[in-house]
Amino acid sequence: MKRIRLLARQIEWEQKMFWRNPAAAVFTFVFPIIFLVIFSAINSDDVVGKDAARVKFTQYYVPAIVVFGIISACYTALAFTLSIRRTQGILKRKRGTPLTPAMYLGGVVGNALVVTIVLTVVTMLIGIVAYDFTFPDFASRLPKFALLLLVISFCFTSLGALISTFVPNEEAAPAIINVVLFPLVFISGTFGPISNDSVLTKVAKVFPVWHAIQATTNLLNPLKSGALDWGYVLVLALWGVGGAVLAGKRFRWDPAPTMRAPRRRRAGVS
Amino acid sequence: MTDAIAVHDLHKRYDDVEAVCGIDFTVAEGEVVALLGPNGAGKTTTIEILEGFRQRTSGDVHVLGIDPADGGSEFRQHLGIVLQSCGIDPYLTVSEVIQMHRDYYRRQRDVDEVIALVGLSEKRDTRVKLLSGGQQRRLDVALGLIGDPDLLFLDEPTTGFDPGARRQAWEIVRSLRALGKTVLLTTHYMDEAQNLADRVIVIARGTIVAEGPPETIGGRGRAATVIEFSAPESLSSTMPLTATRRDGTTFTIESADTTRDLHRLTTWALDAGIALEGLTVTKPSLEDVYLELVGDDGGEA
Repeated sequence: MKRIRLLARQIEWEQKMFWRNPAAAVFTFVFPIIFLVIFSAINSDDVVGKDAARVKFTQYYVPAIVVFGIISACYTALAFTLSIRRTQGILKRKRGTPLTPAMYLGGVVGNALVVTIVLTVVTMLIGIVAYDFTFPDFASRLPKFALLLLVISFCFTSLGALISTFVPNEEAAPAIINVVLFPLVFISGTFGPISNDSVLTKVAKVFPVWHAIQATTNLLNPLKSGALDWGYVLVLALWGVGGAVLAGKRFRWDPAPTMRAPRRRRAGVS
Repeated sequence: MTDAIAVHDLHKRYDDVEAVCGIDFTVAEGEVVALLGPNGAGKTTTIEILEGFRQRTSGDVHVLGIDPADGGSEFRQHLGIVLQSCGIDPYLTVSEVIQMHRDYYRRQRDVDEVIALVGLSEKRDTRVKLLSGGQQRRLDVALGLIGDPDLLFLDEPTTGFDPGARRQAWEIVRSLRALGKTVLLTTHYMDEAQNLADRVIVIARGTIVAEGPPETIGGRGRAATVIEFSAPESLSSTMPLTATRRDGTTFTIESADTTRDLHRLTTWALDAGIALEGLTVTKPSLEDVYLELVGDDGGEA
């Protein structure tokens, strides 16, 4: 009980910090929503999908942006938070207190989940109000959607924590974190479906973003059965587990690069 | 009295550099001890091994009866750690950060009391990112105190403080001593060690070069007194004592028997009708002793 209360407190503090940090709040929220508005405006008259399941562009695009939002909150924001806190020594400070690593990271992940849920709801509401998006068979598909959202969040939280361990200093953070992500987002059909036969798709299929987009857009396509495709879910879960294991191995609380021994000339090193 | 800290034959290697080369010391419960030494002497390495942040290469270390290498959450319940340079969550206010950290400890001090203790009452509701460097350092100390620790580590707590803030920080350490807390601090300010510590341990090049109360460390207690004054050069031939150094009309005499030598000197001066302007009688300062002890490395401090 005490542990749950402490975890809830940690999430509450993380929330406070998140909303007070203009960079985090604005970028996490504004990017997905700007993309939603721009691409919906450009492609509003298009239809996408194969014959039997052809839907309006926005019926595909709103779920895709929901996925992009999850990535924004779980991968991008979390990776920035962890790498900046690591290089500034904030993580090290926490390590010097009785707060356990699990509790601390629980607060960080819990915060990412809260942001994910808020961003998902906001994206869908904008979709429903402005772009004629519908959440099909709400009652029967919502539990599956919630599960999918959790698995995608888990996957990208792990990968966000993992990528943060490759960031050597604050200046390098944006480059490292985005360079990995942006190409994947583009080739994975986030901004409109890409032909299944293209080379891009073949590459994208190796990585988790494509699977997340496929699973989510299919689940929310009113012309499809509404079944959750467990193949996609499995790939996402595997990426999540792999990312978490590697992140656990590489995770450091100390600022990088590790403080070296005395600033003394090294003898005998060629 | 039991030892709060016991270190035996501690070694730490980084790649090809041995940062700590076999040091031994203990800190008794309730004692305030200063680790003094130039940058790169091994102070921070040592203190971070004691705090559990770094793994030692070899040797025995006990902190509050526990080996810090496997000390977990329970171990840190009793420690206050003020690291050398360490960020604080920038988007929370002073009182929020302290409140957040307070929840991590079973024993808790009052938030406003601790804020007042470090002199941040006026900044209570200011966000951390808007604090000056010195104010953040005080908040550091507040975060070290909020869990009412038995043992407080202070790694260069007053570096960058103005003189007023330093005095205030010293008062905090003295108040902790009065409460019976154990404090291990590192510093490269001599006056800080002198004013705060019951005992000073001087480290240079990874080894302990001297250890003792600040009054007597490095043979300071036994060292000759230095008598200095000005007198007309022409009278130097009649002077009853031999000057060890002369710089124009300023004479320096090292004296092993201060009372007698002063008496002879002043008697001579009164007879000769000389004022002995600028007369001073001093022991070598801790700084003199320190510079002697750490040798060439002292320049780096």
